[in-house]
Amino acid sequence: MKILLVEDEPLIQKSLKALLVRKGCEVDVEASGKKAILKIENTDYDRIICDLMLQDITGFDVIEESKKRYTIKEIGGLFIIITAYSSDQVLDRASKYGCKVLSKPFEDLNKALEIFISTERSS
Amino acid sequence: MENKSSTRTKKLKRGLRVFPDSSIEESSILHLKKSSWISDSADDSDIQISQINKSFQVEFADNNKFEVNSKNFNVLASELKHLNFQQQVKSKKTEKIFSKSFQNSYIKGASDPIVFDFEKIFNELSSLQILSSFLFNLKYFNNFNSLQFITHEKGKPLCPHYKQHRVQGYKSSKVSAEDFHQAFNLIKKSKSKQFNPHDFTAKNIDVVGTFFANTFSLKTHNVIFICSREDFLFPTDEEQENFVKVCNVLSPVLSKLIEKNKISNRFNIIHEVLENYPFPVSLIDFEGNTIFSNRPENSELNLIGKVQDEEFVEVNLKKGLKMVCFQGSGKENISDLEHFHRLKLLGDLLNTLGHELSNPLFGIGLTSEILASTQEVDENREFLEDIKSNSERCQTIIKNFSNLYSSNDDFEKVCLKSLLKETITLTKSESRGINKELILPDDELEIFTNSTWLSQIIFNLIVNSAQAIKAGSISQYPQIEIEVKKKENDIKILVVDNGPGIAEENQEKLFQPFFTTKATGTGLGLSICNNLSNKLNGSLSLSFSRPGKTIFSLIIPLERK
Repeated sequence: MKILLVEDEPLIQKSLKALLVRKGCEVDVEASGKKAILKIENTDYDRIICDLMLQDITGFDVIEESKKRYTIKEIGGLFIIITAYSSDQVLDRASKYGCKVLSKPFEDLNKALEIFISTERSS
Repeated sequence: MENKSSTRTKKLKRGLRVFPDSSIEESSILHLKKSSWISDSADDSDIQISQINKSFQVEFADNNKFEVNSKNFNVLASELKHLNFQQQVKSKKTEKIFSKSFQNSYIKGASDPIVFDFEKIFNELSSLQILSSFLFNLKYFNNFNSLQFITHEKGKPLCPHYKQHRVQGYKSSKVSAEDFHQAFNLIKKSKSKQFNPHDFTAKNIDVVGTFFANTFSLKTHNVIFICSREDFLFPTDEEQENFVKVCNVLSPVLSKLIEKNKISNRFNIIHEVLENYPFPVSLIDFEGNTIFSNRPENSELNLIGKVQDEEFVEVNLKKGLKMVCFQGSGKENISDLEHFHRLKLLGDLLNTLGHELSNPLFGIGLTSEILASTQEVDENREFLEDIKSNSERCQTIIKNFSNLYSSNDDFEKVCLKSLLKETITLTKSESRGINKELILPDDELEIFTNSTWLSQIIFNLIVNSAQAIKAGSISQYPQIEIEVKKKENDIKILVVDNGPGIAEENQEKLFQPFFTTKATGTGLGLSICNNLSNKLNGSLSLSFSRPGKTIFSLIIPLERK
């Protein structure tokens, strides 16, 4: 599975990547939202794990840009949002895109990892 | 003279039968009955006047009572006048009241030219209404049945119009400035001073038949004076002369009346302002009697004796009067504001901190987990797992604190033990070195409350105790105990310390805003806590204090009331 991890916190980036690689995935990492958009446009990913609060733009902005390439339905299955700020507004907006939202820190790491690599397209 | 008016007097608006009691002289009673005070056919008993010692007590049929002492008989006179009686009080001195004839007391000399006893008039006539009544009783106005005054304050668009009819009574309305000017100019030019209603554009100058009118140009006002027989008979020459005679002397009276009116309007406005002032205010005379209060029923305002209290402010006025205002509400508001600002700041700070810290902490947790899974040596793996669990602990602490300081007004079910434990942890920096013990009847005890407010109060109490202990500790083993006692529907939380105690003279002022014994204290802590305890539907108090033991007690309901 080819995964793009968009996360600007270095320690989380490094460790999540390591954990996913252990699970047998190919993982690209990107700290900048804008650069991530470029990557998304030019590469086919099976999954995009995206943090909301990035240095330059937000995760939602990244999703909006991906609409150029993917349909709403595809976006729902492609993106998983991870965030420390899981307010009602966030959940609301995410549900409009049909994506799953995981709160940082993960309650159960293994469960979180399962969700990341799951091939089910339902949100 | 007395009887001339009474024969023409129609039924009074308010009949007046006087019941003087036995202390009043027979002769006086006779005079009173003969005087124009009493109408011929008074069947209704409206007033009872009795003399008690040196004062007169007047009681009306509707149970309004007031007392007038002999020095202030004028007050009685004014009061009665205000009730629209057509006859008036005769004299200032009590002995003379029943004996002198009314009309003469206002006019010096019995014949022409008329000379008014102005001083008397100025003192006793206080409105145009009363002036009208007064004029009706003059012999000169015997045949006239209606009087009207229209006053125009220069520059104003509307003119008050007063009409008094001998029988129909008093009516007031407004006339526009244009209509007034039309009438004014017309009347001024006229020589005969005799007019028809049709001459004027003003609709409310409604009279039956012809009438006399005159104008007065005063300092700030112009006045039109109209009087009429209100019948279709042509006025006689004598009547015209009488009218002119009275007009000639009326000018200063009108001036004075208008001035009085203005003052009384201002007075009414000021009175209304005071009555409606949102905070308690009272006026006290030099003897300490409360002569005005805008909260008479409020027992808090028993100001005599409370004047030394910090919550009240005294202002000295003229003539020995003192104004006392309650300041307490103002200070309460300051406490609330301060508290709100503090909470908001703290809440925002904690929130930001929480988010900023949560990321690296999460990273630590993840990394150590990864590392732990690679360890074959048990001990190393355990160390790494410790790192992970501690980073999780940090995250929990942040989350709990953030919840404690959320700007939340809601009540919810909380586990008292956790809340108190977290609160105690918060105080660690202030209470280092002091043993803190938490005593609960039941670890699972839950209470329906606002965790932020409750935590704030307990936090403040613990910190106060800690600071007191640090400032003047007695014991070798400084200790703060937080004990929870369960009553039927309430929870009692006691914060007990073995510090130096609170001085007796300070104990009363403890919860007052800005009261503090600390050099760098704001003095708001306990007053804020007091407000919060009220918001929790509970109460906060100092139960006990002596050197070595101080107990603050917070009582709050278990369930939402």
